[in-house]
Amino acid sequence: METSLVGKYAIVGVGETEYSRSSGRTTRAMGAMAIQRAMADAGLDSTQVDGMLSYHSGDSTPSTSIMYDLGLRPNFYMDCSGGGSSSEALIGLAMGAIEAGMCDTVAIFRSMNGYSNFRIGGTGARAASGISGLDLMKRPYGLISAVQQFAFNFTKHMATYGVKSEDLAHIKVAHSHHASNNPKAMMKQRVTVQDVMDSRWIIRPVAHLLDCCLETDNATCVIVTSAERAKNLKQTPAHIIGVQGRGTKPGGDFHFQHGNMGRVAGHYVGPRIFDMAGIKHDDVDVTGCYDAFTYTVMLQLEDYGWCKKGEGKDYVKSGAINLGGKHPNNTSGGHLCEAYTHGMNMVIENVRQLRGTVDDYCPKAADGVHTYDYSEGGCRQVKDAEVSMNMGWGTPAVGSALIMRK
Amino acid sequence: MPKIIPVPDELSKPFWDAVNERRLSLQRCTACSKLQYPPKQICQACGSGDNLEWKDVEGKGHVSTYIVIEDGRLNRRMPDQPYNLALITLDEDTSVNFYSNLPGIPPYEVPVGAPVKVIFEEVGPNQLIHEWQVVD
Repeated sequence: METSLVGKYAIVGVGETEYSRSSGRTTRAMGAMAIQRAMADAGLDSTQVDGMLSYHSGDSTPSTSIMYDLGLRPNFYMDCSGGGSSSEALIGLAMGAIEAGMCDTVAIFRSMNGYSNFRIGGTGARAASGISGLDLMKRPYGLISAVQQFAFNFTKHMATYGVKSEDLAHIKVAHSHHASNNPKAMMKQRVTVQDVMDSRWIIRPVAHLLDCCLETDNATCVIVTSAERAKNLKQTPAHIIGVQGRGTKPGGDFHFQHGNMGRVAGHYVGPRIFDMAGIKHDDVDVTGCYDAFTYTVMLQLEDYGWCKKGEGKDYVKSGAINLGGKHPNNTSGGHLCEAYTHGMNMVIENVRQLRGTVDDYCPKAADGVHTYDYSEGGCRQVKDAEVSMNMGWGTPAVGSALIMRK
Repeated sequence: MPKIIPVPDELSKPFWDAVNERRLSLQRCTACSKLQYPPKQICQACGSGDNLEWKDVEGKGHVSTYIVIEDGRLNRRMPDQPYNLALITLDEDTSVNFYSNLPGIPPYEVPVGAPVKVIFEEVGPNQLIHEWQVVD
């Protein structure tokens, strides 16, 4: 895969609103704030952002409303329908729009009142709506929410490789330790494997309550521009050296008929992005693996090749995914512990990791001074982080990935 | 269990029409002989676009895997919780799977690997739905 775009673009600004379950604000107000914060972070004024991209599930505010709130005059904008794994893919699309000469600098945002208004699990009005297409084959049996629909991919995997619910709990434990060093995280308390096992079942045998992400009200933003322009901006740029997505596996209906059920889209996305970036797993200092549920992490870590298929249960216990380990994962706490943002917060976290200015509890974190003491209430900066990777999950059949270098 | 009443679309109408006549009928590609479910525009196995016919199948299968919905938010089904949700593999073509609540099997007691046969449940006026029953 030859591409001249490797390292030519960068993320130069990131921003988010408070993470809460009762924003009391519109997605319009939150979206504007996240973009405003990302612009301030980058050192860009309203004349310097001329592109906008967003994604939504019919639950956000269009760019047209927010651009005028902020006094922007885009030369390019687009609002895309999409859920998880859109963050990484839209970063690639932003690069494409700039490369095509359609604009110079793109703000990508996601705004959602994911708890107080539009809950992804399909409650209230959505549960009563008509059913069509593939839903026809599953909704009558009571299969609707994401955690339910993806579950069979993992029960098959459990049966094939002897994976237990306890094995998954180690992912939550690792992410909770990371979140304990993140002032922004909604769930900061560290938990044990037993805590996860003692929380109530949502779906047996794949998900206790603590295996599931935190539905959240929030807006997030990342700003993409050329590496050339980035030189004159405020922050250390996070150069984009690989981007893929939303890539799919054959037979997007997950279970009915598509061969290996435990295989997810990362199997197809992974080789493409490592080839594009020209790096190997061991070059990656920090990862962000979409943790809608603990099992989405295990399936992706395996199919992206961090360990062999079926060895995820050992990999997540090995210390590799913890701060201080070889490839710490979701150092902000991710969706399980920081907030559910449809993928954006894991990208934002990795940008900050590459800058060396992760907002942990180190007194001089903003100046890049860290203790690297990962005990509770301390540091979460990965030492000398040079390369990061994000693995976005849409469904078992849909995924995206992003590799950045300092 | 008050299941949701399906409203067929263009592709699935022949399937649901057959279900209403207590038949399980799947798309079959005359070019490659593969069965296909759910219905799609072209054969997913060989890519052939014009060779899909409808074929009645015997309706025998095995329990492949299952979950138990303990705490879901589909209002209509919440009173049934916890309920089984199994994946059934068709004997006639083991690449074809169906969902089932396995009527008659108490939650958590799903016999993985057990043989099942298709049955039909009434979910609304003149509307049946395919279900699967464990056979001894």
